[in-house]
Amino acid sequence: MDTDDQELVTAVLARTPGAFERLVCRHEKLVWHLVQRMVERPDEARELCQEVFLRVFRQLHQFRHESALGTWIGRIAFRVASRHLRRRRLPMLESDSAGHDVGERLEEVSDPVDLQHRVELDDLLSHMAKALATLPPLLRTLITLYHLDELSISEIAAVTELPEGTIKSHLFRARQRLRSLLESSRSMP
Amino acid sequence: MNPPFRIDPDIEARVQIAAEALDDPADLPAEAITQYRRLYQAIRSTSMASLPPGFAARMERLTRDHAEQPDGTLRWLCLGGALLSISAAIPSLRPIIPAWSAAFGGVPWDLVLLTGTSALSAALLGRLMERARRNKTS
Repeated sequence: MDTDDQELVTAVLARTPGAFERLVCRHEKLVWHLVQRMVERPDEARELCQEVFLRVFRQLHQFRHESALGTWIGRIAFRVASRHLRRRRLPMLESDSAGHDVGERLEEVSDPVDLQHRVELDDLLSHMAKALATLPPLLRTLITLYHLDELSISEIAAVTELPEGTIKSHLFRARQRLRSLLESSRSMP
Repeated sequence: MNPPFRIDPDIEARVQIAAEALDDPADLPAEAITQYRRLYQAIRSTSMASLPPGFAARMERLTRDHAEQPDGTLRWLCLGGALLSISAAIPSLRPIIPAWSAAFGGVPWDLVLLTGTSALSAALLGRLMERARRNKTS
């Protein structure tokens, strides 16, 4: 158990001025990455982030220190974002048939002039955002949590409440598709 | 258009792991490992829009207001008010209620009405307060 987390939780529950601000500062990056990758629209993502932290504030007395505070907060963020997608009737994962036309979708969102350049790292970066946008919400969220936020598979499992095997399999597919998309964009004339 | 570089799917999982572990087994295609390394680096370097500056401070203010608002008390007061109003309205509904009860198999409509209206008032009030709080911070 993280003593910093414990002190912070105690301070927030005791309504110590500035304590909640410190808690938000410490975890806003994870929440933002998670929510933004799931939802994509920045205005909706900002509103959802606010909802996440309000829930954290209201439910903090229920936090039992059985996991890291970040994992607990991440789980709330994931639930809020998933519920938002369900309400907007957006799938977390697309059907198998929908996955085959991602190359075409990348072409649609890509600038044809960019596609003529070689995919070196800088070029890769310019395509990466577009390639990530073609992935379904769950896959791009898992990729971000693992590679950008450097959460372990078990931490991601705790946040998303998905089995570790499922996460590994989704990660494998997401990387495979990203590589394929980026390679396709490079090989275009 | 050239076809993308393909790897046997069975090997691909090992390639992904090797790229992550900075390991270069001789039996795996080096080009694929390099591609994955660049991919991982690109994911780490991808810039994401950030939260507006001062987000944490605004959340602190918002929760302070939340803590100061007598939400619970106010909600109970409104609930009590709704109950009283319905109780007062029931005598004038008396002539209608027996007809409803008879039509729907003896359902105690006065009780259903009382409970339903109270719950609805509490829920509506909660929503209104939540919206007011959001507007205050946006």
